Amino acid sequence: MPWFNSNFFDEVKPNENTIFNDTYFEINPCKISLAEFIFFEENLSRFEFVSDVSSPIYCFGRISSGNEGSTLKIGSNFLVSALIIFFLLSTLISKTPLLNKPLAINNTYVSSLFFTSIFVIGLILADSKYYNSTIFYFLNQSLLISFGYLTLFIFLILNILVNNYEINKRVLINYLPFLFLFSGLVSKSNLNIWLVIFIYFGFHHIRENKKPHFLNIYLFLIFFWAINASTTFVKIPTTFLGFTSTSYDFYSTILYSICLYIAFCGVKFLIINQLKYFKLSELLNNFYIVILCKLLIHYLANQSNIIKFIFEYLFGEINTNNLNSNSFFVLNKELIFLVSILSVYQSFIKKHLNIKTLGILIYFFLNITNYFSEINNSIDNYKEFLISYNPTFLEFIIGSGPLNLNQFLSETGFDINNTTISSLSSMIIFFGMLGCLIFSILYIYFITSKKYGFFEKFFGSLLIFSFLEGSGLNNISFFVIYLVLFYIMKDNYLSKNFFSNN
Amino acid sequence: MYSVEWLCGVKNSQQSYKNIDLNGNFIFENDPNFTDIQLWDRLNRTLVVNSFDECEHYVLGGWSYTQNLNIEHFSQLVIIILLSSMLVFRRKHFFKN
Repeated sequence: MPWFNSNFFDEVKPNENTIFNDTYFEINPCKISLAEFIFFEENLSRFEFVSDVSSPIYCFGRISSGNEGSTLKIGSNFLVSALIIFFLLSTLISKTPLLNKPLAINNTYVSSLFFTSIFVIGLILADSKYYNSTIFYFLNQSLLISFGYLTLFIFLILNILVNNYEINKRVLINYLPFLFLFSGLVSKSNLNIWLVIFIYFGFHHIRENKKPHFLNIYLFLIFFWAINASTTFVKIPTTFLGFTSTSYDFYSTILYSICLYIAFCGVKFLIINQLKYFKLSELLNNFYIVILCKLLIHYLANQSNIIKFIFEYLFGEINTNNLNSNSFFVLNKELIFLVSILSVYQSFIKKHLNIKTLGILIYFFLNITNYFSEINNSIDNYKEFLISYNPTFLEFIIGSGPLNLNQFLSETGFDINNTTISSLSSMIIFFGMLGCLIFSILYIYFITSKKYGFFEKFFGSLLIFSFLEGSGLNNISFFVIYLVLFYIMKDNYLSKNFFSNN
Repeated sequence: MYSVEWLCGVKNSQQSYKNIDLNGNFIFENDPNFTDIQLWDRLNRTLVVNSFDECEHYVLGGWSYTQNLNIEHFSQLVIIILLSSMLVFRRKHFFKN
């Protein structure tokens, strides 16, 4: 529907004979809708469609300008995009079943909403260099009233999420795979609706629970990371939008370090309150649905530029450079490997191999050579990372702060567009040797503890391998799912409750 | 709202086109080298200025809007009203039940 937005009473009325060249759109910016263009243009395949984040509200869904006749910019205003993505995700959330007993969120939720809104504004301010460089037309950033408006806007949409869509009464834990289908990213901004929701849960968790022991150490680390960020680094274009800072400076380092902690608390809050509703079979069913949907989206996006544009707007970035039978597997190998591990684990516990598990395993084994060649690539990328990585002594020990790759990418010649960066590399950049040491101690404890059986240790190790090799620390979807699986494994929840849950 | 520089550009000459008459009113002369600029206030009323001095005078006096900016502010207001209405409607519905 938003792509039909147009003024049908103005003097610009395209028809079958209209020639859509770049002069036409220079003379008539924001005059015709995308739908009108599709209807009257015969050869759509010669055009490429891109979002124009610098367009105003009234221009949403209209062609804002043409560039050399082949690239068309479609108005994708930030506020309207935020509303569309928000209502899309909210509708999805409203389809999930209700809890027997609502989450421990009482009427004092307003303060959490308020803190969330303020914190999200802080994150937007921390990314101001990115928003200025890409000329975001969401408001005039120099005016205080603009930020007042944005705070009110975020406060209202969160309020609607809580009041109208009743997010605190929904069983969400089994529906987390949908985080992989809907990226939650608003237009080309660094704002992710999923992250905002987890920040909201995080504030609840902080309000209602005692301070954890490691918080003081974490605050101490934030102090050092912030002191270390004396030089500003901005690396654009940014990879991993939605769960990473777009600039490395004092302010961003503090805000994004706190952001990671609050998001962590948010996921923990969800796990604590919803673990008893967790069903591995339901989680896996949703994973299968998501993989099938992604496959369909990948196929359709490769058929038409216009479908690709609309799907990218709704679901997040889609890679369509190479359409062959292997490309989907290569692009989603981490997700498919994760689902395969969980499916096999379920089959081991149930001692029964169902058709869906068989399907995913056949698909995985058909692509096993691709998987190992990708693992080889990852190892090469990791070697390249180690060659490029050149930290100071302090950075080597404690890292340079979470969710921030700008310093590393600016100081080194590491080409992130062609060389993927794994969670292991990110962990070294973010937390240094201290982080790696703590992670190793936790893993050794897991392997040597008598609390866990052989299967838990084996599948847990595979999950840890998948986490370190993949993008669990750079992507909100993987971050959430790995954290949920970590808590489930830690408490031995599956072995203890599997049969009662199924 | 926009700045003087954004709307009027930069002053090129030292000559002043601003006079004050005996009653204390401003009288602006036309600058032949200045391209006419249309300005708007927040109520969408409009005027045309013919010199940098006149443009600066009106922009500082609140005529610092453009038609597009007025439409944008109006659209933003509509969004806030719609979101607030959704909440109010829900609350009324909630208390009724």
